[in-house]
Amino acid sequence: MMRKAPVKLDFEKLAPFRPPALVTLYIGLLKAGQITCLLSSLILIIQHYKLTASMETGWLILATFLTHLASFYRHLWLEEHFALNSFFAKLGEFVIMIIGLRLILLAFGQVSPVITLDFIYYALFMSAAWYSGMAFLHQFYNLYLQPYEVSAEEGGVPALGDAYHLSYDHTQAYKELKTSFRYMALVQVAIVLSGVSLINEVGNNPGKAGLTQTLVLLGGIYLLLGLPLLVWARMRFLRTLWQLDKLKEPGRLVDRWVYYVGGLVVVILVVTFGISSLGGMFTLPMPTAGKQEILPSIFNRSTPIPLPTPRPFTPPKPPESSTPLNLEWLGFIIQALGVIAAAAFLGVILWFAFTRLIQVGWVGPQWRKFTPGAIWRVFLNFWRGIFGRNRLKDPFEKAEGDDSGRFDPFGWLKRENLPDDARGRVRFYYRQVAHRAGRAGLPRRTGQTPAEYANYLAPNLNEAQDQANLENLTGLYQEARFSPHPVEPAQVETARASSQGLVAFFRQRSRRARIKPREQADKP
Amino acid sequence: MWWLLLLAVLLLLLPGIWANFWFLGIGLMAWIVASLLNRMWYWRVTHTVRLNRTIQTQAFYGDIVEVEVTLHNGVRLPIPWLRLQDTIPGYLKATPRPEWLVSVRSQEKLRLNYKLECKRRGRYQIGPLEGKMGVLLDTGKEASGDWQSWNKVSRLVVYPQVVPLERLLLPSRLPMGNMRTRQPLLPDPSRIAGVREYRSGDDPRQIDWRNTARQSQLMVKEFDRTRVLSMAIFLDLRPPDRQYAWQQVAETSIVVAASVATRTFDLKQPVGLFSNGFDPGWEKVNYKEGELPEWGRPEMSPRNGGAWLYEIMERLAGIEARPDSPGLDQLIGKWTSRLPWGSTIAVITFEPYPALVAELSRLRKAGFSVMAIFTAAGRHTSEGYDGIFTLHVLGVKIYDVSQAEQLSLSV
Repeated sequence: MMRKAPVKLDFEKLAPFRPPALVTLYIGLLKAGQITCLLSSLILIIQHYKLTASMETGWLILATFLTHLASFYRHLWLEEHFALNSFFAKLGEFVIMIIGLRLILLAFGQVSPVITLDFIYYALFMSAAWYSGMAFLHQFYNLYLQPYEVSAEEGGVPALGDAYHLSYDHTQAYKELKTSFRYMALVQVAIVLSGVSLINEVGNNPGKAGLTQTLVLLGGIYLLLGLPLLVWARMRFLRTLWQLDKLKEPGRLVDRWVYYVGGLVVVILVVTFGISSLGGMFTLPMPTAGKQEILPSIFNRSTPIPLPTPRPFTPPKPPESSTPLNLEWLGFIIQALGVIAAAAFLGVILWFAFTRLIQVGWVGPQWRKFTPGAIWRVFLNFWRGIFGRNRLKDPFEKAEGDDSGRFDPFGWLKRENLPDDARGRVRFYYRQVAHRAGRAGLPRRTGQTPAEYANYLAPNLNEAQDQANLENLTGLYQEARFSPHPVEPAQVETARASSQGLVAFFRQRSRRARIKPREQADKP
Repeated sequence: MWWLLLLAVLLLLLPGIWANFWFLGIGLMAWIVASLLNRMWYWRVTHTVRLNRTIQTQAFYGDIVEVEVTLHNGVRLPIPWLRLQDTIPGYLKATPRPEWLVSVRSQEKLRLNYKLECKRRGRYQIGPLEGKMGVLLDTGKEASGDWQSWNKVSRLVVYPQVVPLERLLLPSRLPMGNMRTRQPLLPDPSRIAGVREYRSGDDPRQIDWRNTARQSQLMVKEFDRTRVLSMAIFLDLRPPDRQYAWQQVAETSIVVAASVATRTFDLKQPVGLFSNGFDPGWEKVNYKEGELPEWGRPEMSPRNGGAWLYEIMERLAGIEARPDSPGLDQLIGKWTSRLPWGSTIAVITFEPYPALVAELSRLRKAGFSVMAIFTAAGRHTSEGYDGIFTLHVLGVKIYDVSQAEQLSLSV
């Protein structure tokens, strides 16, 4: 649809609505990485069967990556400038891009000047990358708040919506993004499975083992990159909805969760490579040179992998000996891309962190405060921020002491022990009953005294014996908790016997169904 | 569906060929684990988050009520975001908007506050609390999270507006309260009329010991004879026709009834309320026309005390004007059978109509002190004027508050 621009565009006013540059780069790179994985899988399979003649596939892969990024940024520019946009304009741009790239490739002497099979491959894969870049950009851009969705008083430009007849729907954009990721992930998995099976079963070209492992690696990377991408998309979508509803966003929300997921992906990759260094079955599949040369790579193996012996395959016409596949350069490219991606990731995290610091009034580093103790405290606070403080078991039981709130990530695994003293034992049995009752749907509230809690529990007990047990136990607990005189062993025994019956009752109830609390008044 | 597919693919990968596909398996496994953790996280926080609302149960007209919503995340897992809103009846104004977007840390307890401006009488149910919460990935059907409801409903009664009788153009000394009377009913010990010599048969408790000592003979106190005038308010809430405008007039009637009841209470006299309006209580049932249950009709005999006044005010807070309710003239006979002789009856009605005029005449003749307060006299038919004239002739005290809306009554 042709867009006309009767509204004068004030780019200063529109600037707050532009996606932040570093986030755009981060997301653009993630998506370009994914698409490159997908297209590379296809390219490598095609190349394996020598359908590409003498084409250098490395350049093709690089071209698809760059094309995707170029398309992403080009369409971002178009969107941000509300530029005249039509099918023919897009087509013209695309043709110019293809011709330009062709000229560049010619200048490097990579391909023949006539229209060859190589050029057709380039055109095909670059078209795919260009289209996916454009489609993804629209999903990406539409997740952001648009200037015409905000009133003029709040800094928006509502007239733009009328002028351009725009009807962006954030929910639609988010759903499209999710759906396209899911389908493309399925396609990627299908390509890997079918490609590996095909390569194993058909043909006996050299470099077979290395290629199958490369395909698997590409598939895994595709899936892993999707995780931070989707988390980002969801948070972005929600933030836009909140902006539309004029809700104030809570602090430390988005950046924090994107760090976590980004960190999770990094951890997965690190663990993967760590396991890979063990060798054997877990060796990371990396492309190897056709002549089984050891590459100067960080993925070097100490021992060669025992390759599975290929099933004997007797084609009617044995293939002629061809030049062995040389994928030495791919290792370098992957390493370089990995280093760039890690640096970019680190940069994005630091940028987020420093932006937030500056927002809250940070003036700069105060070196005097950088003592080991302070750093350790900051680390502990950060860790507690993730896992929370160690909660007190019962506000009545434990006073606030030095140990409260102590860092104890595995505190919830600890089981409470039976104390040695009689007083402690009575209290322990009472706590057991309260805990069981809580699990059965009758928790003890913070403000409830033992007597109040007993009144709360009593209508839910069926047997007279249980009522008597509860009464006994509550009395004993009150005595043990508040009295100054010593508690007798006989009382402990009574408390144990009373608690056993009640625990059995509540355990049974919590297994069947939670009890719906009944008040005293309801009891006839 | 998506998860099933992934699982199927993973299971296909597992037997035998795992060694070849292990990195792809890690990618898939990462997704499955992330999704499962996401689900568990969501399930855990949604099932353990506790919400509560603290609010007073009664308020007077014009009060500003503080509401506190407490949100307690009972687990160690944080809630990345929680969008929460409280359901407020349309007649109450909440400031600020009771809608929050919060991020809740592990085991954090948040207190969220807002204020309710009570600008209309009524029985209100505040709640339920509704919200969406989210973890990292999608969990529900809706992309922005599924709505959840916490059935925390609080009740709030806003009593009707009470205004000084002068503002309603009513005399401040309406015929209510203890009045001196020639009919010797009860001597009122608070009103001493004089002292006289003791006569045989006098109550020894009435002996005035100081005067006895002073005059060396037994003297007794004499008291004024008074009678307690209990006040019964007959509130007519059956509009003459189905026009919506009557609703506003009915609100004036209710304000007048509340003001008269409060004034009577201030004079420490018993007060009762009878009405043909319908008070559904806290029920939310829509009764069909002509099928109104009788229990919804307030019939409260005069009694003393603040608690009784508050009960009357609560009924007045919840009462509704219904065109299908029975006419006042059909109910007056039943109601007056419960009242003591000589009670004051304040009939608050829209305008007089022949059957009501006849009934009020009968009451007057039966010895009740009747006053009629009209909130829409002469608005509707000329019958109104005729009725007023007849009642005036019969000695019924007539008050017109039909101009009350001009007296800044917010009804």
